[in-house]
Amino acid sequence: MFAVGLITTTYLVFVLYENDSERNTESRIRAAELASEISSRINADINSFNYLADYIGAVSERLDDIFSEVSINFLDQNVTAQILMYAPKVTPEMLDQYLGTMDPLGKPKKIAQYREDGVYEEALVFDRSYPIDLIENFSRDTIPYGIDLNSSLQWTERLVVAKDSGQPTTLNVRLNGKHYYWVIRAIYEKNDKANGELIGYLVASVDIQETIASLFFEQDNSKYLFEINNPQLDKRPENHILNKLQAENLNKEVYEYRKNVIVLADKPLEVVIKGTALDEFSWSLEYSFIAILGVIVTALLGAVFWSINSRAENFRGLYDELRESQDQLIQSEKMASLGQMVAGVAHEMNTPLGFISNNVEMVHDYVLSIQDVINTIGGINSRNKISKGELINVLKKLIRIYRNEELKERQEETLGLLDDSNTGLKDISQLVSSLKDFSRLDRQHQAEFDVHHGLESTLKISKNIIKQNNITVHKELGDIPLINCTPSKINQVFLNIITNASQAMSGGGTLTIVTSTDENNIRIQFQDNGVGMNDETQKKIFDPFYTTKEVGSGTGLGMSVSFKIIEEHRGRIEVESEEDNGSNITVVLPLG
Amino acid sequence: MNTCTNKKSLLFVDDEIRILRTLKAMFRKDYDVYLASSGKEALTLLDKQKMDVVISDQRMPEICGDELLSKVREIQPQAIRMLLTGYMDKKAIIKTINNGEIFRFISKPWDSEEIKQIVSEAAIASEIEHVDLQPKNDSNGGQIVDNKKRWMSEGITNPAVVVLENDISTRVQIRDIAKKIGVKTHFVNEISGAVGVLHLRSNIGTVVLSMDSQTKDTIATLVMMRRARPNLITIVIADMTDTEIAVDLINHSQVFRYLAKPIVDDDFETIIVDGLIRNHNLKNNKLAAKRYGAGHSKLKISSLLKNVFSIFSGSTSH
Repeated sequence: MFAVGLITTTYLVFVLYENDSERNTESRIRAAELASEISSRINADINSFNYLADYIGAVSERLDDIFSEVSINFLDQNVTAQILMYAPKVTPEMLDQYLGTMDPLGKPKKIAQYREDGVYEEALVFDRSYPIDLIENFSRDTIPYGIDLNSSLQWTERLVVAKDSGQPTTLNVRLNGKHYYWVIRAIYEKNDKANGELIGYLVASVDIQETIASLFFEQDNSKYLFEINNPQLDKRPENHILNKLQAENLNKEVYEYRKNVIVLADKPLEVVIKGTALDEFSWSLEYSFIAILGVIVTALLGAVFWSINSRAENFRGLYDELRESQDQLIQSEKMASLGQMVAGVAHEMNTPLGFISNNVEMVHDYVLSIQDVINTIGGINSRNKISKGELINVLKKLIRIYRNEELKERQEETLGLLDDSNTGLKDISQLVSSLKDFSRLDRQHQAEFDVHHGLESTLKISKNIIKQNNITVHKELGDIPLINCTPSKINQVFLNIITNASQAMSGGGTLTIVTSTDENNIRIQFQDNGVGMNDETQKKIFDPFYTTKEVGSGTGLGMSVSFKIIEEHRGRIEVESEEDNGSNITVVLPLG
Repeated sequence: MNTCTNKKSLLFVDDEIRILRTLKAMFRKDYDVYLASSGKEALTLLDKQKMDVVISDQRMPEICGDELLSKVREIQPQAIRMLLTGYMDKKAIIKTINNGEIFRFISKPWDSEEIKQIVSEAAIASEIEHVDLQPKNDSNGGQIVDNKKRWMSEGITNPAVVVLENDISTRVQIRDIAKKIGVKTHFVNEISGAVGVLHLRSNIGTVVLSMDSQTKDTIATLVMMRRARPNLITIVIADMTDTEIAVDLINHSQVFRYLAKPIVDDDFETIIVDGLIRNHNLKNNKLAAKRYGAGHSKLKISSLLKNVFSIFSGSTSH
């Protein structure tokens, strides 16, 4: 079950104030009714949500940690309700995960105030973008004293932490629904900041509560938040860190994070929301107090409801996205086999293009050298009379050119280069005609098709991958009739099978292609001696997205698309394979 | 420029004989050209003959180009290595950078003027003694494996690297890796920040750069930084490695290593120390830096970067 994976750490205990006064009974009952009604609405929603979550949970386990379960227990028949909110447990892994996304440049905020009893309280609130191990660097010396915050708070949310560390250490936090804070609280011995030893830091995570709290805590938070302008980094963090032994003596849960010990709050961490100084409340105040509570409960549950709804909305969105991407993937399989083909063909063409263009340069150079000879002869050609001396000079010059420019060697070489260029050009034109045959764009639909011709052009197209994997292709072609089919699609199936076979024999091997016919069908058999498939792979071979290739090498759709194509042709694909002994894939197509 | 007796030896490796023939026709006048039609043949030749420059095709049966060049680096480290590639194979290209310590990539089909230029640069670079990264031996005669001890044994003091990385988790990771081996890290948010730190601290000669959307600017800046300081070692990390960028990084800025995230702690530790040692050796041997010099870049450089660069090079030239 989705929510089971979530472990309780944080309770939100919502205590409806209990009063003996009969005058309040009605409103109390009303509040209880309201709470009960909302509770059932939530439960219904949780059920439907869980159903959806189960489905989506399979899609993305990562979403686990963002969901919180909410349940409401009535502590007594009348008025006291406890709302338990199960927030994700703060684990070192989560710290890692969240802290991993922190911006070390974010400045910590300081919150400080005098409590009503005159005790000064303060804490640094670090944005979640603050790396934990830098937090220790802020020593208590950097926290200025004497900030007078005579607050006129009516409501205080109290994060009660370290309840049993002698004196309870409370931290007043103004929660801002728009931001998620990590709350870090320095704990001093006997809660005495001035004289006590720093014994550690408390880390609390506030997540869903924040959203809810923000709905009814609307005071301007800014005046309680102070930025420390010039934080001095303490070079001696070890002076401020609680060691493991000390922490264990305090009987608290201890997590180690990057060698520094962080004490997490005793579990469960309680967040208590309650009114203060209730005894002094007058009847009307009490009445309105309960009314306010009613409103709050509504707002609270509304927020939970809203939160669940919006999450369900998110999941629905995710589901739609998933389906859409499925369609895209099928399209991308087509693109991938096309891309593979283009890449292979590009490589095959590149080589002849490379030497042909270089050869053209070489021939050009050679012609330029010969031009010297031509010019020299041309110089005397138009003359009527040439002296013997001049003739000897011309001859000497010609011989010099002949020797220096290595004309004879280069002539032989140039003829060779021209021969190479010719064969290279033939290679290119063959490749182009195979490409044309392979795609048969001119005959996209049903046509009389020579399977052998299709195999030849597919082999030509996949020459690159065959060569790269050191594979010998052996053909035993029978006498088979033309069949009626969509040639480009059948070729796509051949290409896919040949590619798979080549990849299964990456260390080299033999691909044997056998064609045969009987009364009803023709059979095209592709046999490799590659790695083969285990039973599981054989079972799943036609499943979409199933792939044994490494990420990025296959879409996992090749065989499922092939299956579909052959099915459309009323044929079938037979698979025989043994691990380590190769595979035998046979395409069976009906005659006529 | 080469006399007959002092011709540099070139080895071309390609499984297409017609490629070999045309290359031989082009280079045989100025160089001693050797041909091999497979990696195996090349290795046999390399056993007998010292080569100055080895140029190999990537896609060949049995031993492919990246593998061959990595072996060449082991058996003839002095030889300049280059890869001739048509269809860009990303994995091979990254491997060639990081394992083959390649000098240039030459694309197929090539431009004949360009290939002549590159080969002549390679021939010149081959005269400069290569710098070894082999681990030294400790007092007991065993190889030093511990990365901290490795830089210490080279006589490096106060090692530090500049890191341009905006992803916080990688930042924290790099800081922790560096901390572990006693290397100081200076983190910067922008390439200009990296230039700034290098400008202020001339003892730092190793930069780790994370490639983001401003790749062109980053490469352009790298080109300038390396031109100003040829002993600068650059390690580039990216979410996804890219063949075109890889080729640019080698051909224009002789990148030291190019890696895809996520980085692996142990590997990266070694890479940082390799970088520090290479930088240290190049500093002590100014001539050697030329061997690891980059080709002339045609990249356009933005005016902003030009300004940054003028400050940088202005200070470092004194």
